[in-house]
Amino acid sequence: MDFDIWSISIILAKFIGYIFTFIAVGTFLFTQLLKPDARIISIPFSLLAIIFAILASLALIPLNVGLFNDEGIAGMFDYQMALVIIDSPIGTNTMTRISGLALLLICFYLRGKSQKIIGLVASLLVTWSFTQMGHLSNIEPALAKLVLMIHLLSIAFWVGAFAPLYRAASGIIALPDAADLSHRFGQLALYIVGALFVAGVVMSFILLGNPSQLLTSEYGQTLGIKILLFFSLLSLAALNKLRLVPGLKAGQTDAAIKLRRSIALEIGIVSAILVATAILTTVTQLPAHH
Amino acid sequence: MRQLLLIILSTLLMVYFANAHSPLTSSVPSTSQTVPAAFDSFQFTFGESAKLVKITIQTEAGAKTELDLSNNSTPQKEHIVKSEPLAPGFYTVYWRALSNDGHPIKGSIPFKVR
Repeated sequence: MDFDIWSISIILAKFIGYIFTFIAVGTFLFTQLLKPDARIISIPFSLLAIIFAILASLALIPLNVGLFNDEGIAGMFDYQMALVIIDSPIGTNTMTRISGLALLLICFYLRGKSQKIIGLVASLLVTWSFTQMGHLSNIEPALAKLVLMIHLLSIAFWVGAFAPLYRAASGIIALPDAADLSHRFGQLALYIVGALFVAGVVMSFILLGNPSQLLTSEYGQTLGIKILLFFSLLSLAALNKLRLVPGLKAGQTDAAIKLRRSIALEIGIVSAILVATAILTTVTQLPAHH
Repeated sequence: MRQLLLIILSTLLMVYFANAHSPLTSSVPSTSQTVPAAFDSFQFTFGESAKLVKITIQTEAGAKTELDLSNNSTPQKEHIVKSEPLAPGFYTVYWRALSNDGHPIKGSIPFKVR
């Protein structure tokens, strides 16, 4: 694993891109699937998330140009090298993702059926962009890409739920209503997190080939850290569902405070998972069997 | 916020200490190899097909020469890149490539011309 200033900058841009892309897509999915009270969706926050996601994706082009040239800041502005990068899977991936994110922006000005359709197309486009580069992009069968998209849509739904659920537990809406929303989220999350996990296991098998690679390869070790973090996230989610949401339903204000704290910690763990993912996709190589 | 930073930092530290391996399976010259005078043909072999993006040769004094990659524009496992015949001395060749799945890969090989 070779960390230099460019790799670290790319990892940071990818991390920011991931988190805001998931918030952007996830807010749409959460709103469509759970139809929450409009007051708990912050429009400025959602708009900013899309804009940050676009900027972070765009930043990957000059950062990769800088990485290749390795001639300081000036190396980022090499037109010929930029053309090489734009012509590569990095460019295709960036353009597809930005198109999807731009469609999500347009969704704010649409209502009804058109908002649903455009939003769905945008979400699929954004998640599809992740299959255009990276370790899964050249692996057969192409079904692996569908598995990755399911994995990403599930993550987006989960990440997109954090802000609305946090706001719901902040007194913007009545506590029983917040409890009802959190309960409905918990019910749906059972299936969605299940899909996320199964898709994750399938992809790990496709990429690693052999479970022993989890311990012996660099890629496997980083993936192992992701899996450990995922299980810690799952135990927090279980605590929310089994202890805090029933408390909220009973009108306990301390349950609302604990739920907000728990969501904040979940955001921290998800951030760590996304940092590990950005590292996995930037500086690690798959084990030799591929 | 403190918890969040702690989690991110510990993740970074954990992955930082994992082992590394290069996607370049072999090269001519190899690391620290001595090659005959007037050496003019570099060979890079990758585990998977890759597109060479930039090759720079640096002399011991720090002078850099970028090699022409117009014959290496397609992604493949093995690349041969021509240079002007090299005078005796110590050099480092810096290579940059894009793997087929879009990953930037790079490395450097110190070598000596007899």
